[in-house]
Amino acid sequence: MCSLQESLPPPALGIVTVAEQNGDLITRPEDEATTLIGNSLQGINLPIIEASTDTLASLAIDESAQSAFLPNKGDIPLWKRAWYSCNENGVSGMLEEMAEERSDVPWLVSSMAYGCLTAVRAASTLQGSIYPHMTLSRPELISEYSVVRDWDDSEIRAFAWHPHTNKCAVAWQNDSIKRHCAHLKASIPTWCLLFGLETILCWNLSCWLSVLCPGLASRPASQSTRPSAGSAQVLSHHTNCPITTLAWDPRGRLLTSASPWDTVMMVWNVPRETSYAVGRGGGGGVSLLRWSPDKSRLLAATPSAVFRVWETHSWTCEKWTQLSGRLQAACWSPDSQILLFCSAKEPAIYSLNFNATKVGGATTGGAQAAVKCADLSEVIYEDGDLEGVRIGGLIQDMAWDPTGERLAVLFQKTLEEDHADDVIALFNTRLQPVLELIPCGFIRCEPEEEPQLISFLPKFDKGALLTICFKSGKVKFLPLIFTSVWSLSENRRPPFQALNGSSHHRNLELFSVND
Amino acid sequence: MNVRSFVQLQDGLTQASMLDTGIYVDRLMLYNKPYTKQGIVHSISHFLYGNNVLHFPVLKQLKFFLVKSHIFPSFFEALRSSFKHVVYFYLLYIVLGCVPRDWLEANLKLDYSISQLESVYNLFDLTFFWYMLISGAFLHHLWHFALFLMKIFITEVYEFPMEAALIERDEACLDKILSTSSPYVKYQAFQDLQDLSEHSKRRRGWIYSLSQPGGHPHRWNRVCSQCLELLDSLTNRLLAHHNQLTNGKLQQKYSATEQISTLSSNGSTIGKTLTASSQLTAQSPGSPVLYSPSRPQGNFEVTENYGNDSVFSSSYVSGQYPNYGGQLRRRPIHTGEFPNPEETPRMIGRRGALDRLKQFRLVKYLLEPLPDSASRDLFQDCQLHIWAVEALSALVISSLQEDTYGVVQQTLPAILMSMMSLSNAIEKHLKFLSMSKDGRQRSDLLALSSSGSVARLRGGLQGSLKTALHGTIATFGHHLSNITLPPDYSKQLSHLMEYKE
Repeated sequence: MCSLQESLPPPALGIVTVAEQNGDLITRPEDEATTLIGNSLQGINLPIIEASTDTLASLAIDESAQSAFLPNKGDIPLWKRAWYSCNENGVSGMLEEMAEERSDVPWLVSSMAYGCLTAVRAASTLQGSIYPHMTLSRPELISEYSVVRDWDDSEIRAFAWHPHTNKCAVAWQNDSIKRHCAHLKASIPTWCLLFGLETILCWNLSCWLSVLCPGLASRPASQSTRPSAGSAQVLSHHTNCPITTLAWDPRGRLLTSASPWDTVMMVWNVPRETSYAVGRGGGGGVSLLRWSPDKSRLLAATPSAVFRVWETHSWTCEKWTQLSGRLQAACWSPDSQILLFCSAKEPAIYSLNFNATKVGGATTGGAQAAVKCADLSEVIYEDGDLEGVRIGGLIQDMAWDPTGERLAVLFQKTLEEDHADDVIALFNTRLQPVLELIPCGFIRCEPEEEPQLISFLPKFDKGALLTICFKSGKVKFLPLIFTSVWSLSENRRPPFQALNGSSHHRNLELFSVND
Repeated sequence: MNVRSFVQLQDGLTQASMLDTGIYVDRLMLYNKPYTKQGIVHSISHFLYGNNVLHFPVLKQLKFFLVKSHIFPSFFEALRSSFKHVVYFYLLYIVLGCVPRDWLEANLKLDYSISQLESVYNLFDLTFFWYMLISGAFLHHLWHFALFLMKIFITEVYEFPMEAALIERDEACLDKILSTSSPYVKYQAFQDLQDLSEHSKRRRGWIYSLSQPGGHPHRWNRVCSQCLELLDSLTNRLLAHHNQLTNGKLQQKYSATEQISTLSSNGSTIGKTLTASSQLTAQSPGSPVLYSPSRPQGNFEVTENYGNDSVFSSSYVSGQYPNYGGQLRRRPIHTGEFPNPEETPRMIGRRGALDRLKQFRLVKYLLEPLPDSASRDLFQDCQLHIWAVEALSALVISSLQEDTYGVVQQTLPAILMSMMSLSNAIEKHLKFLSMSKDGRQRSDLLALSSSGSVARLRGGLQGSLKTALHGTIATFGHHLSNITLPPDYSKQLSHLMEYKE
């Protein structure tokens, strides 16, 4: 187990990390940083992402047509009002309407409605005491379970790389989604949501971009600048639960969606528009889904201290309990053998090993217990410029690069003055022979910028490319240049399935790689 | 069976309180009528909502959890539908209820004079309502649940052996059974192939292995050729259909084959279309085979036997054509000699009668083919093709790591070409389908295809072809440019490799 104390101290405020060169983080003062980043990224074709709010802002109107009219409660019969409010707000809305003390509501009806309403409220309070997340409102729920650090204020709500090319999709706060291609200077406005709130993006293997809105939409990305109904495929399922997580399986056939209010997750066959409900009771819902890169396992975290790992052949699951809190973030190693996860209440990373040979049959082949492999509790620096600065704490999100050699960790936001929560911890990881995390250092970004989202470019020849999205809408590309271990030894099988890493075989001709 | 068991059931419920024979008969009838009605409604809705069509699930969940998660929704659905039907039953019962009672009374020479059926007392009889609701729900649940259980057991993956210990059992191995003539076994074989190609490394190893004396990749060759044959047959069927439509030959063929087409009493139009297409093949022997892969002609009896069982015949033998109010049976496409000379004169007579009938607008409407019936017919057995595509792509993708002897790579160009040509053919077909219809028909088409299971299967095939191509490209990357392909295909492949949208 490693801790943050073994790591090099972070750069002082005003010094910016610009790149990594074979294990050393290169830092520069802020004014020099921009040119150096530009130099280190030379020859790499990357999209230019700028926060411009002009193009689609006019289209994305939050208001619905309903707000133009005043509610008329005067001379509508009671049954009609009850019917409308039942359609609009559900049964509880109808009860509220009828429980109102008004002259035209008979006494018996209103008292019965009042009684029912009290019973419903008592039941929901009871449910809330068992599962506290059930009492949250929808925006609160989304901001709680989103991977974005500061959902309410962040300009960028979601970010997703295309799995093969240097192309990405960004969801902005004004409910517009834009795709940015490396070879095009301008962005392509793709979608504008009229419903707002939750947005999750994920790309599929074959260029399908899934967008989550109150319904569930998935569309093949096309060149059209104006989204048309024909290019989108809408998947809908009659449920009242807000979906907060989406994941495509790595082969691009199945789309999984889940809600923290519902213990059942839906597995969609998108071209056929059919869905299958998969789930087990307990845990209160599903808050996070992560597919392993070889498609054989699926992690489903719940809002309580339980998570499950499904094997995807006969869809049975193994359940892990006794976490200190709910599972906050998780990532799979590129060879699908190791799962790293962290809980929302403990500053530590745990690892869980899976045995490859056991897959098949009704077992996921998981180890009996998870091992704590990194301790990220707070470290206080007491010398130099960093006197009294505290670093570390609870984890917001983790990202593992596709070669399996770098792990980036984003910390949760704290409101304390001397807490440097805007640094990103970088670990050097080794998968063979046993998992090893070696603290590499801290990445410090420009002052006044708060990192919100981190992710790695799926294909990068020179090592790994970390993408950091900031609160202000800026996106920073940080090249981590290193020579990966497996490429050093000749004729060695890459330590992961070659599904996403075909570029590494460039110097091989077309023949099979022997075990 | 239904009526008897319900009588028995109700017997138990009511016998204790019923002493008078008259009351008993009345009650018996009273409680039996809903079942008769329920039975009729059930059989109609069985075909109307396509419950006779068997869908193979994409996820292979364990049976226990499937059943467990189905029981409660099914029961509530039963209650709901029972409640819905009670309303209609009350109408029927109040208006016409006395007819069967009087008939029974007269026949059994019973004499009783209790309350009239059409009385207000009967209308508000809560016991009666409750009995009817509960027993209706129970029946609905029983029937649907039985069907559900049967479907689960039929669609379960059966694991075929890869190698037989005895030579006599050799025919039962997976690679041989793929070319079987029995449709159900063929479906199971392809399902098993798809399953092993994705989930079982050990069984994939068998497919990549070489034969022991000789060192030939017989297994892979058989599996691959079966899959490719299946895909190519659909491509050819699509292209032949497309050619017919574009050259305007269809109209001429209609007039030529109208004289000889075999008509079943309820399946006139489909028989006609297929006759037209088979005529085309017979005339151009050089063209590739044109036959339905799930129904080779030599085994007509076998398929007919399966056809009698409506549940699993229907997904590949016949589809649902709601406008005919029933089920159309797809006739096998004859590739050989045609027509059957013995039937001709009678057929001509029937044909003439039908033509006369067609002068009436309503009859004509009922006898005209649905706008996309030909298209749906082409994609009827698409599930097999989906499995073939998925199995091939998964085998190709895992061959990079697991295929020690390189047996897959010899056939890689053929696989890619087959997939691309099928994908192009489907795209062309859909484009033509949407363009060739006038406004009214198009709305018909959309309405039907959005709900139709065949349209979903078609979409599924298109999606899995696309996924398969992208998966292969992602696995082999730039090495695919070393493959020699015809110029059209290599251009398409390079487009796909650049992820141009």
